[in-house]
Amino acid sequence: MTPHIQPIMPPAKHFYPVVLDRAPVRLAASGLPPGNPGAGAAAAGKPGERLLGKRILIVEDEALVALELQFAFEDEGAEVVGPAQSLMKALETATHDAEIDIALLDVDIAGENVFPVADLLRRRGVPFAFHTGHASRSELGALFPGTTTFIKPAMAETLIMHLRKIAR
Amino acid sequence: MPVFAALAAALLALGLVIGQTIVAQRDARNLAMTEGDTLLGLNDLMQAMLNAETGQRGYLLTLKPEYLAPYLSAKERRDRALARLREISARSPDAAFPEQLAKIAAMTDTKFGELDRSVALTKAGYRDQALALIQADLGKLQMDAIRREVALLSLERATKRRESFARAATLERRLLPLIGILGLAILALIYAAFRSEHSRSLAEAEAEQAAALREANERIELLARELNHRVKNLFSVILSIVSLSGRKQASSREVVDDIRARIRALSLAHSASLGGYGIDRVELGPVIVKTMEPYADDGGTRVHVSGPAIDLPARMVTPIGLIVHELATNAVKYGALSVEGGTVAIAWEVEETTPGLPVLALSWTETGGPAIDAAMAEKTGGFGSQMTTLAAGQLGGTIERGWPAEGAVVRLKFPLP
Repeated sequence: MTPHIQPIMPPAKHFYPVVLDRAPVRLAASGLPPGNPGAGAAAAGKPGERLLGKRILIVEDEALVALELQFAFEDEGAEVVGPAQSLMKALETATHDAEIDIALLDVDIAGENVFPVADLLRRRGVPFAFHTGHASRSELGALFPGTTTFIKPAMAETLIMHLRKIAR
Repeated sequence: MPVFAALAAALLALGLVIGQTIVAQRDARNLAMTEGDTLLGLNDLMQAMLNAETGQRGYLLTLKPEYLAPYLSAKERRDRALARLREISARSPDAAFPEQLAKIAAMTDTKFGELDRSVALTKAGYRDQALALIQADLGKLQMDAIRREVALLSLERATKRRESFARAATLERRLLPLIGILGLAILALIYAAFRSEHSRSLAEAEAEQAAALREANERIELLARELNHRVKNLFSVILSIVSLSGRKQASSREVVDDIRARIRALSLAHSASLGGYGIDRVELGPVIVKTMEPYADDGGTRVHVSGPAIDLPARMVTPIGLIVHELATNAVKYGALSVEGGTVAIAWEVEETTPGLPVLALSWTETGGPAIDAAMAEKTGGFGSQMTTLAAGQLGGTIERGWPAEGAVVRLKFPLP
């Protein structure tokens, strides 16, 4: 289903998988990338319902990006918690909101590091992915092994598929 | 500079003293040399006089002419001695010397006179008269006087020589400290030369550093300008992409126009900050004015913008631009800018209700627009109000919308960084 994505293995010092959308994609009328619609369709889920019933916490300070993500996830049936535009708001939400299924965390929010939120979610057992504008974040791999980091601008499609995969 | 003056003075003084010392030493040497001759001459003179006396005495005693031999040669001897002494005294700078010599010469003449007389008397057979002369003691007194004068003269010459040497020694003593001072002055000069050289090379290094700094600053400015051009260009490119992509798609006309308007608004907002003010700070006023440009008519009556000059980080341009554009678009669609005579007043001020935490309060007030149904307005807010709320959040602040009868009023508040 995802032949157009080419995972890049970073140099040895990075321990985390970094996903970059590289090849230009011709969107079909549905807005979805072309591919074999049949194979793996069940695993991939029905478009518009791939995040059905999931509560996703978005931590992102930039209005446009936050809105875009919110709409993209809501279009797939998710309920968006937030977006939290500051570290304080994010911590507050992550602490008090009891039902978060997945989270997408902007690594630099309003000049602050998002790690405290990531720590908190990890302790709560909430799966999450990182979202960043900077291509080199080697500490992420060391501190949060196994967590995927997406480089902005990431295609909504990619994010949706990944979040669906890791959601509990 | 004072070092040079001191050096020159020291050199001058030194030269003077050296000259004086040389002269004094020469004089002393001369005196030392001639003193020996003088003493010899005086001695010779005395000897001549004594010989004359001895001869005279012997002849008077024995009446034998052989005893006169010393007397006979004495005069010549005396003359020779005097001549030598006169020569020496002539060369001496001391005026008293020839005077004293003349005195002695006169005295010896007198003595010879007396001796001649007594010898002549004896020769003529008047020995008793000659003896009577001698008994009168005049000759003895004369001899004693001569002896005294000669002793005085030699003493004086010796004194003069000692004085001369003493003078030379004094001058010599002055020489050493002056040489010392000269040496110090030279050292001081060398030190001063080093210092000036050092400070010159320091100044050179500083100038080099300043030049390098200027160069670096110029390069930064150049880069900033280049960056600004690229950003401006990118906006135009994106606008063109949108327009081209939306061509011939009648169904997406509205969407494309919407997109174009937003991009254009952001381009305008950012163009206010590309004026080279600084690459990371921006003034609020120009950003708002620029973004409202498409809506302000030539008379400047539709849009009023007022507020103090505020410096903001460049990252705030996009959210502010988005908000202003959104409010303006709504005003054009449903509000004051949709009718003639309607106006928008944008004003801002800094509030400091909590000391140390200044907050920027910006108000958007519409007047002269059509009547608005507040409930309707809130409902149709939708996407636009979602975006402006998040944009306010991106600024760390809040946005409130109200729809009193006169026209929409919006208040944006965010902390000043």
